[in-house]
Amino acid sequence: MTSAPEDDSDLRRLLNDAVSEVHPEGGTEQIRARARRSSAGRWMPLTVAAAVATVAVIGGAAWLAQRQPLGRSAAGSGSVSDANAPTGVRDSPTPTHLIDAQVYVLGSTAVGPRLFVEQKQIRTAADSSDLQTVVDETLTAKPADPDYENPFRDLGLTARATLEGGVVTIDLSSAPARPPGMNGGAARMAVQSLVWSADTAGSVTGPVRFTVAGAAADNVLGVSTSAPVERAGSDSVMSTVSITSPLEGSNVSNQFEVTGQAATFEANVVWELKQGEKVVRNGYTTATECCTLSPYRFMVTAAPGEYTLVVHDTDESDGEGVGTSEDTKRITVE
Amino acid sequence: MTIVLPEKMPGPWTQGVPIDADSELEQLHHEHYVRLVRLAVLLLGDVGRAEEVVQDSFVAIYQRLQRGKDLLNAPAYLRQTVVNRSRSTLRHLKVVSRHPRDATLTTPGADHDLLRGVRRQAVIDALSRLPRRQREVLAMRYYLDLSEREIAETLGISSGAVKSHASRGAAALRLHLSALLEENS
Repeated sequence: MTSAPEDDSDLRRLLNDAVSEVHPEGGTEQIRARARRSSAGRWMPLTVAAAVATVAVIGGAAWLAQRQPLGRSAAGSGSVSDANAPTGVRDSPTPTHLIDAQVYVLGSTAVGPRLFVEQKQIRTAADSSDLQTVVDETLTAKPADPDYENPFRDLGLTARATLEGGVVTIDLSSAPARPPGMNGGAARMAVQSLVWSADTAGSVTGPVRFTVAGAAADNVLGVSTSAPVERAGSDSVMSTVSITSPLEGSNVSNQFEVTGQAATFEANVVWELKQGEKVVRNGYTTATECCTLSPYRFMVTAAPGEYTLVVHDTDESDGEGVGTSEDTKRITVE
Repeated sequence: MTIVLPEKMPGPWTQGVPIDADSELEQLHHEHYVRLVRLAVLLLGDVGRAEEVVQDSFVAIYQRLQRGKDLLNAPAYLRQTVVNRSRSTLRHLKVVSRHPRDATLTTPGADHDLLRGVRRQAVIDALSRLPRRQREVLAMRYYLDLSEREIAETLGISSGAVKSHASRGAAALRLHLSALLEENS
């Protein structure tokens, strides 16, 4: 090496060259759409809420932590439908419209994988039904919150979803086998994520019929579908703690309200506002009812900055190590 | 490259004056988007994640503009947001131990393109092996051409600390990239 330590032109050149061929996607249209979506989402009423970022790897969580190595990810942390829209979308003659959707995804908790719901606005073809759009999203979208996983995303499935006589039918393009490493509990939750997404989009609560290319489907991910699959009760499939608002990655004022749902021992809900490992604020509250999913809310005051909001239950196992379930959101206080 | 501050636009950047959030967004995007994504690639080693972080940052500034928030130095705000969010993303990735993604910096074609791709990847990999602060300081110093003071403000540390991270980081990077540097000299 010939350059003197003070002459950094060589390093400068290498760093500039390293990224010189990066030509990113993402125009202002996309940014505006996402801004509309996240501010709309903040005020939307939710039935159940979302997200988990527990460090614990228990049960099916090992599978959840697995990710396909991806190349270029869909730009944006919003819905994949939007992210997949070509940047030249304004030139496209295809008429589209936005729908408000609830998409159920998986996350890890102290008791294994559970369902979480993501509130999204999805841009879709004008002639596509809400049910079809939400089923497509549930099968293919990358969750907006990085703590969630879509168990179907890497399986390359498509489906046609219809609602007749109050019953949803999901006709899959192929019969998906259970991927290696996915246990029965995770597979059951995966099927329930489709059932909950489809039923919610169709405004029904009944069982969902599964077929493959028009014929009856024995199983999906190894979960029997020979009879229509009942929508399981929320207390048996939803995470016991979730944050509804603020949303992941959102900006909030220096005094903000946190809302969510919890089903915890004595309705206890504990929270921390963290910067790195440092707890800046903390407190506790109670959900309106004990031991079944019910809403909670509390106010937080904090100085401007980037934080991680953590909401969790308490470990009542007397040291048996069941652990706690938590939900986290990265937020910016302005 | 120097980031041009919008000094000639006293109106939109001053509180109390109506802000045309859309035209401000257009201008900021035009002037800074590509450069900030490239900065985030140096910090994160991944194009997709870099785009996500920078888009999130633009969404945040656009929402501020729409609410008529005072933004005296929008480029500095954007830069700081990108660095902070890149840091959060890395921290999160560490927690969930996800598999690394391809950086997709290579565009295989002719042999010399492939070779350039490999070299680029080597630089990204070497940066990713540095401690976080050193990586941030080097990326801002060598890629954004920022002064020590500007880097210190962005990271919320002293100029002295910037100097020390810069010299340690440069020494470590030279060590990791000695083969490439000799080839180029």
